[in-house]
Amino acid sequence: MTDRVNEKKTMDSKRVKYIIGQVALIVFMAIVTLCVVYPMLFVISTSFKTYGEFVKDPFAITFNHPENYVKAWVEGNLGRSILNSATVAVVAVVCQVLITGCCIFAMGVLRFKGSGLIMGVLLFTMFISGEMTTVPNIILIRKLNLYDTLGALLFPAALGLSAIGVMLGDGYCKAIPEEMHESANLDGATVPQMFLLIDLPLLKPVLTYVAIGSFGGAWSDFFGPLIYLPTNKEAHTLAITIQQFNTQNNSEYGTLCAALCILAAPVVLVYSIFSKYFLEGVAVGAVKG
Amino acid sequence: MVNTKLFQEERNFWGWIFALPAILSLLLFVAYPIVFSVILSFTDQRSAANIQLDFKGLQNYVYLFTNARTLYWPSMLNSFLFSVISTVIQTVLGFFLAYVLYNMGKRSQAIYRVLLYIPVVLPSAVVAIMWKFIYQHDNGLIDVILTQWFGLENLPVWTVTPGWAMAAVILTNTWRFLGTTLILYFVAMNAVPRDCLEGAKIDGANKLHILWYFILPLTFATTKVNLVMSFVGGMKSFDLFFLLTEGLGNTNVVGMIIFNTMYRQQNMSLTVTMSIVLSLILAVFVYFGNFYLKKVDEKND
Repeated sequence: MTDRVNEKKTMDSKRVKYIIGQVALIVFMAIVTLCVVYPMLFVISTSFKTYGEFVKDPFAITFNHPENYVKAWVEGNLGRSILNSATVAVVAVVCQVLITGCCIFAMGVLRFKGSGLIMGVLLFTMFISGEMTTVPNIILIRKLNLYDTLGALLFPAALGLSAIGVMLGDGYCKAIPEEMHESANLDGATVPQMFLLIDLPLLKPVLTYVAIGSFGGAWSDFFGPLIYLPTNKEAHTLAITIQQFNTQNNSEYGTLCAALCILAAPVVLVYSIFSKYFLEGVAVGAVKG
Repeated sequence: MVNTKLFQEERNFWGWIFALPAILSLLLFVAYPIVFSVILSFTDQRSAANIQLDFKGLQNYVYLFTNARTLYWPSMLNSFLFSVISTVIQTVLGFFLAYVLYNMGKRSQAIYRVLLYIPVVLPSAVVAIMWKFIYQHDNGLIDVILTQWFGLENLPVWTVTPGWAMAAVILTNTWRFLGTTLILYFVAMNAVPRDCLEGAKIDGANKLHILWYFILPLTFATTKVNLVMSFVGGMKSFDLFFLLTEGLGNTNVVGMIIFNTMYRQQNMSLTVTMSIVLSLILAVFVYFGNFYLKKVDEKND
């Protein structure tokens, strides 16, 4: 009899422990979520407020002043910058997907002599610091007469290669059966035809990952315009325009936050839609690097 | 079958053609900068406009290692401090969060994975301005909460006061990159064979046991990657400091010093020398770090 009572007691204390654990976990997750998400919500809600409203109650959520967005657009002259950012981003996506796709095909499918060397160089690139390449790149850009023009951003964007993309793609190619290419060869298909008809469709997830990465990198880049475009405001991209807008109008909180939302929206949107491909790439890149 | 050899030759030919743009890219943006950096470091090149290549031997290296007034080494120490503290916080928090996520339902997993990763994809200009706004004196989010809810007064200016400024960048940096660590651990935990854990559960192991004796050692490869990536990233970090504290309050990290040498002092040779020395130091750190971590891993087995 006492045994059974004891058993029930331990069962009860186990249950209580379990419930306390679960509650603690939920509270912990709630705090973490709040810490991560709230700063972003705070900026979004502030972007719809006037300065007076903000000072009176910074936590209130209102959507009374969407005209902040118009104001940011006009006062910050964002139209021109958005066009520049979009141009660089589109060039980066198209060219980098193409270059990376061809490189994956050459290495993973054709396995030509020299693939090993390229892979070695790619692994090595992950360890060199960005600062080390900055000065030689400025000198190169100057020599090409691209300094202080939009070309200074377009040139590296158009010739970029996604190292992680190639590594990710190399793994994908191992899953494509060799016979597919051999039978295509017997049927008289040329190598470029194989690329376009067999491998390109199969590499779509990898190339989507490359596209998202290129887009985000080009759109968000702040260091490039800072050093390559010291005076030419007409060629400035959105990130640098907004940073300078910030240093000039320090007290226009509503307008500033609206500008931040305009800058962040495309990357967040693209990422949220394609997050599945993106996370896969992050994982593979890290394991190899 | 007859044309297999021909096919192989064709492959080589087309291989080079398809890889050509990539090779060009690597030559231009990897090979050329490295070689040219090393050459520049032995010259006395001030401006980026007229390249003269006036060889001065080891002058820049000697200056860097003997001049007591250079801010390079103190800034290296700042970077080291920043890097170590953020790496530890980020790895521990990321690991724990990933484990919580791992034990959740599929649906909440999907939502959290996207949500917690959004800060990573935000442009650094957005992250920095946003947090500057939060740290703002008097009417920033933090000051408002501390004065209105907790009645604290005479608060320091977070981004300028020594000590607090570094803490502010560490907090922002953790907020920003927590998602990366979390995702890496999450992927690694999902790769741990489920039946192995099921067996342990039947043997009476609770969640903490599983975490300590199975998940932690089995995701050690990821811990290694996380530690190295986060440490190297921290040592090189520049943009948050440049945008958030501008080097005030003892936050002149090595990235800031290198940038100022190039941008304000306009001394290209010294800039590349600083970068080369930093890269070498990091390479040594990564090498010995890997060596040490490998030993820990062997012990685990």
